[in-house]
Amino acid sequence: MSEVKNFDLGYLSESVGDDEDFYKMLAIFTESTPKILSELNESYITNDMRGVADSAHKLKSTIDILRINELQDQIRRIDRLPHVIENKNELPQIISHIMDVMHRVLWEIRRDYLS
Amino acid sequence: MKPFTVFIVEDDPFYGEMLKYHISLNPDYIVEKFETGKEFLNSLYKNPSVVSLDYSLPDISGLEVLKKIQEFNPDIPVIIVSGQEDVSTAVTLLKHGAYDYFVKDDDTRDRIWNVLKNIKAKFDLEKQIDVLQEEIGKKYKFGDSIKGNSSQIKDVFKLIEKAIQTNITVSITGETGTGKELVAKAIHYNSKRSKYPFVAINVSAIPGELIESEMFGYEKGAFTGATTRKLGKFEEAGKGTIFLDEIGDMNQDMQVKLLRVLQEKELTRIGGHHVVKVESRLIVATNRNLEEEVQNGNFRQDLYYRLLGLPIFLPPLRERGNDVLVLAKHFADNFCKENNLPTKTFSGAAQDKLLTYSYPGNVRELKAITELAVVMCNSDTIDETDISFSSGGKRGNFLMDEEDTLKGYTRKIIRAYLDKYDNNIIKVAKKLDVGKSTIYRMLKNNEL
Repeated sequence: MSEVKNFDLGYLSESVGDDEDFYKMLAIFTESTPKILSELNESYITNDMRGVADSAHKLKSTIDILRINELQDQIRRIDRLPHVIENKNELPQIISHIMDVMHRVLWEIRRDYLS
Repeated sequence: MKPFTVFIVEDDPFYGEMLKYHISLNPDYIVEKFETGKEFLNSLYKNPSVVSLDYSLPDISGLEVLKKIQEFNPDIPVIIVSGQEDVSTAVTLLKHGAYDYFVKDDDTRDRIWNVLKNIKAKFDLEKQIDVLQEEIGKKYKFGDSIKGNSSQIKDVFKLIEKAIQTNITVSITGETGTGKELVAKAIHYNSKRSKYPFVAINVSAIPGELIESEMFGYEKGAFTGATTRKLGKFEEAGKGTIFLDEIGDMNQDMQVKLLRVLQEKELTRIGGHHVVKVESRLIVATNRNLEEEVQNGNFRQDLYYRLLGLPIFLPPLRERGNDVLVLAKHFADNFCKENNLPTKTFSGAAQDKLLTYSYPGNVRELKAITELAVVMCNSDTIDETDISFSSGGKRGNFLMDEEDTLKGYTRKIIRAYLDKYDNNIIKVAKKLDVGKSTIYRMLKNNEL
């Protein structure tokens, strides 16, 4: 059974081509994203909603470019914190889901394109 | 020549790299990327041509960074590239002078590409204007444009230097053809205002009923035929220089209006209510004796004093001694260069002939005489036969232009000879058959 990917690199490939620059962009993604994810987690643990929003804001365009479709709505919901809290009870699940998916994307990209 | 530099301020390393990649596709752009506001502000001294700024930075808000850029150089276009899909944020930033505002999406790269293309086109045009202005500045560098070694013209140079250093109003007087507009341009193009326009109005050439609209502009519908708004010359000049030539010919009504504008430093277009600030520097010129015009009631005394500022009197050519030869050579060289002719020199007889004429049309007339002589000359040397004077103004008559005492005539003659022979007292004494001590004494007593 073939693996269903959480991302689509079509837009990135269309933007920068399939050669050196494509791999350079993926390397930048894998280098910079773990730090943002750890900042997101840290902010959430310390109840720093402004920090959560800032990290989400940084991830938003990356998620759009890599077409991580299942996170596009969720990242926008926490990007508006602390001004807009639509359903605070959902926040733990949303953060947890974002962390899971992003770590999976990172792992797959490293495995399939950068190893 | 300054390169076109694009600074990207983007805290998301991945998105920032994407932007850098796209913008760098144009080899004419030099791109630098910064991940924090502080890092960017530390490099702002490099004066980028354009800034692409992320609104949400970790350390400083986009609005604060925008304000700092505006403080440093309000001419740097700032494109806000933001994840904020909030209209009020966009409006606030645009109100604070942002050039454009994009929400990050799939079209951002194309939109930023187009905006940069437009900014670069404007940047190139501004560079061209700078080059042209520099060229004009060189043309009017007064040591090159206004020629002469006589003491009279050296005094003029000193006054021009003073006029260049300040914004003082300058009033230039002198006979027709002495180069009043040239002096006005030399002052403008060598001053701090040189990058702004030099706008000249010849007051005597504009009918009295049109002068107000020409100077101050009008609004659409202000009068029959005013189908569109028109800016006046004062507005056109902006922070530059406005040159009012033949100011002595201005009618009394207009004198009142001009005085008010100069006092208030603001004007209102005809038919309008909006007040426009006047920031231009004023230089006026006339060949009339304005003091006499005031005494005769033809020119307002209050306006006269407001316009007087730094007075510069341009001596007539006949009183500038050997400057005639300096100028003739300058005009001949220029004419030969413009017409691809070999350089020509003046024979001794030709030089003597040039020095015998009184030039009622002053420098303008000398230029015409010299250019005709170059055309008539069949060799590399301009001879006296190549030179012809259109009017009968033989030098010597100038002594009788105004009645004077014998002592006065003596002074004029000695002064004229000193100019002619480059202040060589021994030579002048010999030529005039007077004792050199007489000349020394007169110089010592400031009689010459």
